[in-house]
Parts: sequence; C-alpha cells; structure tokens
Amino acid sequence: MSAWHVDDDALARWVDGTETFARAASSEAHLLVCAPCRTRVAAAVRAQPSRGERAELPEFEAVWGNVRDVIELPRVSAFERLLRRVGLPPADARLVTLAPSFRAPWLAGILLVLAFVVVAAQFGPGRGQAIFLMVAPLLPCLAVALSYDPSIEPALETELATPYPALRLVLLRSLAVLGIGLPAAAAASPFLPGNVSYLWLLPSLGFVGCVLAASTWTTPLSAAAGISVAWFLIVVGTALAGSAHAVLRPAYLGGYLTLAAASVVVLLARHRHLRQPQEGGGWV
Amino acid sequence: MTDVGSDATLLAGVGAGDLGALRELYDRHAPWLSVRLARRCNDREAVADALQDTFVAVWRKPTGFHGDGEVAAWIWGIAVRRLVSRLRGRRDVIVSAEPPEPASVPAAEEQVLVAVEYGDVGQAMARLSPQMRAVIQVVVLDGLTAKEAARLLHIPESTVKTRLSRAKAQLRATLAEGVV
Repeated sequence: MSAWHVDDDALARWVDGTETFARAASSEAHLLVCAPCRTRVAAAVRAQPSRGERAELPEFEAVWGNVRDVIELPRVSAFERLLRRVGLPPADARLVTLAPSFRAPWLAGILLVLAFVVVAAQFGPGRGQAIFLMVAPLLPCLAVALSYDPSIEPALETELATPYPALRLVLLRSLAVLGIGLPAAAAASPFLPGNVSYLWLLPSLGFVGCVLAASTWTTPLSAAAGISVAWFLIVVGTALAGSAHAVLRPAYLGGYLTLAAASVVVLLARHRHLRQPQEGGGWV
Repeated sequence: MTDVGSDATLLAGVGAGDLGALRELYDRHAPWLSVRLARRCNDREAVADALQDTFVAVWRKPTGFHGDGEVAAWIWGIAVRRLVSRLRGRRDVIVSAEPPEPASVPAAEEQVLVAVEYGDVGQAMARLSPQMRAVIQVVVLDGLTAKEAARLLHIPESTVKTRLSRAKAQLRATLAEGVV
C-alpha cells in the first residue's frame, strides 16, 4: 500500500465532479489500487446531504435491489434462447418451453409407451403391427389433450388467465407437443417387424385436429378419449377382418386428411369457444 | 468498515453463491464506480444501469478475475464496458470529457502543490483540446479499445485513432518544449 493518498480536498472535488482532468486521472488511477481511499470515497458519497449537485449518482439501494432481482430470476434456458433466436417472441418462447412435453417425466412417458409397443410387436408381426397402429396415431392427440387440460396441467391455469389469445396458446402448445411426440413415435417405427409405413402420421394429424376442434365444445380430454375408443374399434375391426394395415389404405388416407382440414376450419370458426378454465377449477 | 476479507476472498465467496459477499463488494465498490462512471456520462439512468449490469456480471462470472492485479481494476474494466454497451445507439447522452472548471482561481499555494504533484504532464494535458482529452481519457486511462471508445464518444474508430496519435504527439511536443 502506498504512503501517498488522495488528499481530502481533491477527493471531495473528484466526488463532486469539479476536479480537473489531470488530477482526476491521477485520483482515479490511485483509487484502483487503494482500498482505504475507496472507502473514503464511499463515505464522502454517503455523507453528501443532498444529491442535488450530483444528480448523476444513482440510488445505491435501488440499484442493489435491481441487481438482486436480476440474479434471482431463473436463467433463460438454452432451448428458450434458441427459440427466441429463430424469431419467436419471448412470451411465445416461454409458453413453448413450458409445454409439458419438454419436461423429463413427460418425455419418459412417451418413450416408455413406445418401448412397450415395440416389445409387444416382437410377439408376432401381425399382432405387433395392429398394436402399433392402434397406439401410435393416438399418441400425439393424447399428448396434446393432456397438455392443455387444466385438471392435469397446472401451469396452464395461470397461462390461460393471462390476456393471451387462447387459440394461439393452444396451437403453440400443440406444435410444441407434436415437435417431441411425433419424432419419438416415428423413430420407433423402424424397430417394428413388417413394413409399417409412415402413413400412420396422417390419421394422427387428423386426430390432433379433431381434439382441438372438439375442445370448442367439450374438454380436450373427453374428446381424445372419444377418438381413442373409436380408433380402437376401427383398428380391431380391420384386424379381425384381415390385416390391421388396411386402415392405411389409400382410400382412407384421403379421409384422414379431410378430417384434419375440417378440424382446422372448425377450430378457426369456433376459436372463441375455446374452453377457458374457471376460477377454482372446471371449465367455462 | 468491518473487514470480512479481501476483495479476492469476497470474489471467491461470490463464486460459491454467497449473496452477502456480493453485497459487501457492492458496498465497497459501487460508490467510487458510480462517481467515476458519472464523470464519463451525465445520464443518471445510464450510470445506474451500467452499475447494475456490472454487479450482475460479477455475480455470474466471478471467475473472470484471474487472481492477478486488483479486483477494483477488474471491476472497473467491466463497468466501463457495460456503460459503453448501455449507451450504444443513444445519442442523447452527453459523454462528459470536460469537467467543469473550478469556479474560483486556485490559490497560489495550491497551484504550487499542483505543479509539484502533477508537474508538466498535468499542464500539458490541460492544453489538449477537449476532443483529444476525451480520447486520451477513454483509451489511455479507462483502457477501452479504439472500437469501444468510438462507440462511447459517437465518433468513427478511425477518428479515435487519429486523435489519439495527435494527442500523444502534442503531449510529447509540449513536454519537450517545456511548459512555463
């Protein structure tokens, strides 16, 4: 520590902002290496009765409060930053990130179901194919339904309470869920015996649309349940009549596409009826 | 001041997630930092924002200090750069390179002291034009790069370099011929 210190007058002038250039530079260079002089500056700044003369000095407690606020906020995740980078507004990015498909238990659940299907399929090509065709197309629509039924998805309650277009919210979340669910299901299909084409994606698209459209009347979960039962019956019926693969006949594929398109039309026409959660649970 | 350790020790505490250590660093350094920042920029909000950014940065990356030299100098390096980035694109803020002249003529005794303390360099500095002094200040004294200085002073980078070399040449000449 040097024996030289900034004298009281120079220190006061520096704090007041009235010091000349060369002397200020000298004081500043000294302050970088001298803790006692820094402490004197702190005392001088705090001792100033009024900040009127030095309006440039910030309110230290207020700034400290802001520092705390910033560092105590959760850091934005890498995935969310990526979404923002590709142009999604911050609010949308947050919603997509909050979609349950990105939480580990959810992802694990989807993968577990698929693993069961693949294992079951090893017991016989015909039956395995039927099981896969029964489950895989339903997976996305169930995922979407679960992801925005407030009785299951607690995060949604606060989201829907915010002044945010419900349609936009539902579509964004569905996209987010599909972004995980579809590739996962698609990745599983090569492990199936026999030739299951990716055409099953078409009915699943139709079902997702159906769930969204139907949720303008009822809850997404009941819609998904109804669709599941109907699809089970159809697949079992076709399997009994011959091969389950028949559900992917070209004649039917047009039907699935029509279902998807019609759902979109219905959803757009009736998006004002998208269910809003009531206070204290339940649906309006 | 209760001595709870050196700045470097506190910084290690910040690295371990100790908010109290950050608070202590803040109490020690925020006053002089803000005075020094306020000498560069007359906008109170910008100074407050730069101060806030600085301590957030210290909290997030205390490992940026490599243990050599003064913690204060390291923090100042962060602070002046945060000020630059906070002022990016703002032309309404006057970057004050020219402190107001003392209201009264300093007493003869004081002038002697000045001469003893700072000698010819201080006088030579005083002879520089405000524009050149501003460049000397941000590049030589504050340690900014020419690019950062250009952003802070709202002048092209090439102008920063030109003014810097002219200022140095002028200082050299003034010192060589001697100042009365």
